[in-house]
Amino acid sequence: MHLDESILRLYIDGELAPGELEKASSHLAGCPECQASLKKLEESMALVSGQLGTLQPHPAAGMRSAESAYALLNNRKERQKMSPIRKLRPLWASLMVLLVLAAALSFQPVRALAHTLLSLFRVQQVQVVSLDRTILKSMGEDPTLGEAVNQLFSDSMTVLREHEDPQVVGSAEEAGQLAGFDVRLPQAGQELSRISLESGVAFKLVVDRQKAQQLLDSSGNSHLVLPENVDGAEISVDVPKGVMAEFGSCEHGEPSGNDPDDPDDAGEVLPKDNSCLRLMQVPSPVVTAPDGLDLAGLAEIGLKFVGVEPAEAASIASRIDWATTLVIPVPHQEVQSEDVVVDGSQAVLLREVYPRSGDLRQYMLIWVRDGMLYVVRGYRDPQEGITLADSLQ
Amino acid sequence: MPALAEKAQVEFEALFQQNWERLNRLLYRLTGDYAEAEDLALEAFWRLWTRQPGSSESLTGWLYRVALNLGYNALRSRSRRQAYEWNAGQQALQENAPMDPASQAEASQERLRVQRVLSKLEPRQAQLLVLRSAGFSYREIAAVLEVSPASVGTLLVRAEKAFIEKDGEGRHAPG
Repeated sequence: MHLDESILRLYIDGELAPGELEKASSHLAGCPECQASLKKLEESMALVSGQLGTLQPHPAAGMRSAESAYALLNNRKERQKMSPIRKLRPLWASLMVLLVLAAALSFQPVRALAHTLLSLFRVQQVQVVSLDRTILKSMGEDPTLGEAVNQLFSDSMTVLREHEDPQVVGSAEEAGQLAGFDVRLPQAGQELSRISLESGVAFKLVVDRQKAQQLLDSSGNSHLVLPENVDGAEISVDVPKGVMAEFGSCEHGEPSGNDPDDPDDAGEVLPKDNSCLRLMQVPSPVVTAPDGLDLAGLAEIGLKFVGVEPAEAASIASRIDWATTLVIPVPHQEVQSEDVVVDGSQAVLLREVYPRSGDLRQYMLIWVRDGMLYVVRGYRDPQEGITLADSLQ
Repeated sequence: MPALAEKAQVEFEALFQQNWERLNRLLYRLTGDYAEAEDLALEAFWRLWTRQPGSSESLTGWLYRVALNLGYNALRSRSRRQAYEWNAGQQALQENAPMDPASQAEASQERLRVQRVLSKLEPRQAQLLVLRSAGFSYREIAAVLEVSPASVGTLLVRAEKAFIEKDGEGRHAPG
């Protein structure tokens, strides 16, 4: 009876109990086959060990000390305490609150910016603004900037209606009754597998011009000057109830990667198969703001804040009708975008540039029609999403 | 602050001081980027702080488990990006995986290749190999990965085989 590999391994690593060790040693002494197996095992161990050894950090590398790291952690605790609204992520492009933060967007880098909210005026059309990811990323990583933005918002924001978890319902009719509109469903493609009511959210904030300007100044943007009349402006956002319909086989986990109750939840829930298609439909969110607010001017500032070249920022800001357009910022290195027509409407198709597991590249199709905002999200061929959209009734 | 909360704070701080460096270095092995390793290490401690798992569970085991999951996911996305660019004919490893100067100086082809092989393994196998390579004992590995200490040997043998196999595949085909 020869020694199996596990025993040999334990033997090599010195992890055998004394009794076992004696038995193994004495067997090995008289067994050439096992000795050969042992040698082979030692060789492959050494091979792998050598390879993995290349991963070790440089001994002289200046890695952050525990003291310094602990201080950073404490900062984060402080920030968390200050923010009264934990579920909402930092409204980044807070000055871009007049711009975009699309609901179902869950591409990693944009999610750092984005939010579960749509904040814009009554949307009639959709447009993409291409942004440089490296700038966004460095902004996302700057803790003081994040803290300042958070504080700006938490001080001045009042939640009018809380965002609640989605409520799964039994049918499209039920969803429609609860949401207050007729739910449209595709006539082509896979079966409806799940339908739920999304609660929406409503909040208002009062702009503190001085603090906002300080934020710009301290982030190296003092050349961007906010107009006086923005001070005290009360802006309210109302995202109504919406309906999320799922087709095919969809994963449900904590998609934000922020479930603190699960040590195994470290990020995106990757779909097991890629047949999942999700259709979100919601009446256009409404943003109310005082008359006389120079939207184009503020938008221009917002764009420059996130790194768009001044000339381009001015051009984009003036071309778009901010009161009626849902503008979606996309980091162009990571997300490709295309204009398409679906459901008789102008739409944008966004797609991840880099695949997630295997070949899966998530895509989103976003359009507005008759006062409703639609988002289709899938993983396979975008044509599937387009077909679904075109078959809505 | 109530006595109980204060005690938790003191214990947490001690755990932090004892494990920061080791966790940070472990995450460097997975990410190959000092800044990213640091971010993930802080994130793992943050989750421990907000989650406060029950005392019956090993807090350290939980901490390392979370960290390894974060690290492995980061490894996978970085490797996917690099592989994608390789296949697209671009060797812009630097461009979309920004690394600080210290990392850039060290980014050897070898290390990147090893990381790519690791990213192709099952998460637990990759994590196991990295833990072992970082000098974790069988007992520690068992606590982190939630397996019996007796099974660590078998798991290591299998993981090493899988590594050698994937490594062989990688050498024949680029990316």
